[in-house]
Amino acid sequence: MSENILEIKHMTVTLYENGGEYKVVNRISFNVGKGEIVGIVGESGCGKSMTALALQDLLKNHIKVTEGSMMFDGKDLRTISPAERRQINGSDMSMIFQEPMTSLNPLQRIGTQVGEVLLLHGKHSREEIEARTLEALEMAGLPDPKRTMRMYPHELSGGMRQRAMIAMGIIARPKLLIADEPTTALDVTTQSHVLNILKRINEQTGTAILLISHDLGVINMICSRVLVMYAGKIVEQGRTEDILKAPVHPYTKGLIASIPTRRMKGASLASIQGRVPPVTEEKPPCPFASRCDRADKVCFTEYPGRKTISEDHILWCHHEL
Amino acid sequence: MRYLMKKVCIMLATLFVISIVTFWLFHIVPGDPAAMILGTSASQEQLESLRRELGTDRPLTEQYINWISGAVRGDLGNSIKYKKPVTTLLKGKLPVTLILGGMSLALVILIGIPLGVFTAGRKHALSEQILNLANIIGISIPNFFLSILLIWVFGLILHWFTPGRFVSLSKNTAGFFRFMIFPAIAIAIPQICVLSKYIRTAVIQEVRADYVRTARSKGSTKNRILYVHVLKNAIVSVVPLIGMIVSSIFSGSIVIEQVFGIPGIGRLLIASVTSRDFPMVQTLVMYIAILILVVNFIVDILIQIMDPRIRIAN
Amino acid sequence: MVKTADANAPGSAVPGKSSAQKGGGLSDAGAAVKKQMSKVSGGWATGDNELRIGLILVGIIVLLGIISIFYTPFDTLEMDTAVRSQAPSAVHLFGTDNFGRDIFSRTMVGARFTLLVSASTVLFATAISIVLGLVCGYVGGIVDEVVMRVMDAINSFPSILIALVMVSVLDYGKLTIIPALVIMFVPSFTRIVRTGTLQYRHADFVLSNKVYGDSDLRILFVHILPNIYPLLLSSVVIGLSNAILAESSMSYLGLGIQPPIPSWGRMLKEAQDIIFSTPWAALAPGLMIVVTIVGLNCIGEGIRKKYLN
Repeated sequence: MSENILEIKHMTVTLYENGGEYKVVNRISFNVGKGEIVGIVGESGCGKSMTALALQDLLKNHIKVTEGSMMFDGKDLRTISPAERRQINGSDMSMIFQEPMTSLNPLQRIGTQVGEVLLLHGKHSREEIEARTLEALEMAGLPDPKRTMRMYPHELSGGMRQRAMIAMGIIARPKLLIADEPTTALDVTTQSHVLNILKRINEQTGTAILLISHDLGVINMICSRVLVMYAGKIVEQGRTEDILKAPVHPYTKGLIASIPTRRMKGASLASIQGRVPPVTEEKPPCPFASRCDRADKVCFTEYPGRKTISEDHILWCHHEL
Repeated sequence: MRYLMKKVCIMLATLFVISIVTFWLFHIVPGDPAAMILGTSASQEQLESLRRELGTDRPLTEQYINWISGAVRGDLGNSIKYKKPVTTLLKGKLPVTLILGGMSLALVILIGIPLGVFTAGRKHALSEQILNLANIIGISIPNFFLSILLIWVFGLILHWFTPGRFVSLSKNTAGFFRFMIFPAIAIAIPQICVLSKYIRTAVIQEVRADYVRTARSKGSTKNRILYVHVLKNAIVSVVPLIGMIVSSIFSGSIVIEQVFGIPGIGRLLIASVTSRDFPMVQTLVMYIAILILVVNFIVDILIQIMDPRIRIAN
Repeated sequence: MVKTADANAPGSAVPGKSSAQKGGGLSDAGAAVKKQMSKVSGGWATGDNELRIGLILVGIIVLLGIISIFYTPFDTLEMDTAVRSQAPSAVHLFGTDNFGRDIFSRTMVGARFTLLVSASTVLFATAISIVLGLVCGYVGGIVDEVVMRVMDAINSFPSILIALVMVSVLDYGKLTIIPALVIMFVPSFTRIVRTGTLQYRHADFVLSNKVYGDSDLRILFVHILPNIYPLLLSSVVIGLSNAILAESSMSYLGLGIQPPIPSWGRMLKEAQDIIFSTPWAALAPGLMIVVTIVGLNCIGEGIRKKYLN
């Protein structure tokens, strides 16, 4: 029995556009352990959202998973039938999205939407659905769940809507909850509230969480492990405190260095030279090579292999420091 | 509640303004009705006596007040052409027009919405082009031409009904509906094209929405997503269009009644206009104006009921 | 992040262009996705295509109308009872009516008048609307409020009702139909002009011209109006098609253009009267109306798609 709830091996997601094929996620591999909180961090366009959507088969028609395996709870997500997929989505694996306003049906009450998950999975009586909806809303940190249940999405504030989405995501007691940039649309104080709620849920129910964000600060708050993605590839992964305290990959270093802190007051902001390449651009085997100050010929000709720095700390780079 | 009262007040105020405008139009602009009836060769006394009879010798405001108070009481004056009280003439005709309008509306909604959903799903180039073409023609064809074609094909060639021979409801219910279905279709077809196009656009838009993605993430089935999420939202966005469609059905029926020879309000209106029967025209215009205002009011209420975003804002 | 592919060839399975990627052709999944995508997008209904089709259709009708001034296959007034009620043939393209008159020739002449009446209606309406719209948008305030409320009121009524009221009040003479129809169109055109004016009222170039001393009138006509006209043009064209529809309806009811001036609407009424003996009489005028309206709508839509995106 594996202790991983999610095992991704060499997963590739390809985008078909204007006659061409482009890899938005390029042969990545990672695991999420049962009850673990893992984060994926990277700038926009690095493929982290695509990874999340791929897990739930929510990719748009012209984007497809073309390689690799996705094992969830022992099942191969690429070969399951549509009925099995509908069975998994919402109950064993659920997802919350970045924009709660548009992600909720404006014409349905919150209670109805949250309770719908139970209508779709298993047979429950009306009283049971109502009871569990209240329970989920409370767990998600919503004050006065009875009243909130009867409200419509536009009557709630952004933070409350996100909490409603969380309730929707946890009501069926999933084994894995994927959170795609759940705090990006919220202000800073609400951000930490929501993240704490997620942490509490993880502690109380043992639900594993895959947290996706471009903000290292957010990741740092609750994730025990983090994967750093760049241009469709994972460049470094390890325990959060290791990565933050002793980053090895130049990109990771650059990311951390560009976070403004009080110590840097008065100094110019560090930034990584160059820009994130668009999906359609040809990239060298190590995609970061053109922006890296340590790059040399081998980075442009060979794909950097896996290097294990310590037990959990893995690096993909030709060089070490 | 307060919102409702406000709406009712606006409606009454609009009605008031319409009545004044209508009255002004029909009393001031055309000139002396007595002269028009009696012709240019009439003598002064004849004109005077007719004016007294018609009541046009009184000052205008008094005439207006008489008209309004009479209308409230149920006395709408007499038709110049038919020499009978207007209300008598209206009696049998209003139900016919309303039934015709109702049948058309039913056709439009029952065919237009499913058709719109169906065309939203079809992505095959050929059938989409054909339906698109049919849609364009449906919107562009004048409904009286369509009626003539229907009369030709279904009346003359197939003998499914006898053109020109209207069947009264009281005499033969089955025959009545068998006759009426054709004018109802003639009125409905352009509106079906309009509605289905709107629904199609609305459905395509809604399907791309984020909350549909959420529903799929919850493990919802395609059908459930379509009916519970997409369709509801699409229909809500289309409800304001229904007001316009009803208005078009009214105008459509005015002409169609003429084509098929249906004794309804529309045909009466045309006859009155042709013979310059002002009391008749005036009343009919007010009637139709009231009907339209009421329909708009109902559509407004419907939107309130169906869309919580608007309901709560009020 | 991702744009949808645009297939311009109707029904094409796989676009001719092969993969631009290094490494050769498309994978199977790629080709399948391609095929599906080409079926989604519009096909022939692009702005340019629509314009072309519309112009051709309308061009034919206008041509027929112009030709009718000089020549028609048969004299439209000539009644030849010998060839009464003949079905369409090589000689009489759309047959003859119950008086022996060639229907096609009458339709050609009808084209001329229908187009003239509709065009003049729309012209008047546009002129009035431009003035009203510019004033309302530029001046604003109570003038704007009052005028727009009146416009909204007129707009909420079925147009045919307004036309009927106007005609009954003004008597249905030869050209009464024109003011009746003009009133139908002024509200929507005015609204468009007004919206456009509002957009540009505070534009930088307008303000700078004001500083340089341009009079308001000059600003309105020389600076603002040229920027508004694409959207207005599209609506005017579509308004023209509505005008033809409305005029035909009124003529059909006997309340529009009066005989002996032929008009399509009138011809349809006459055709209906003789439907038992001469059912095809309605085809020519009816088809002409449909073709003209479809053509005008295509032009209007084509302009809108081309210049407003």
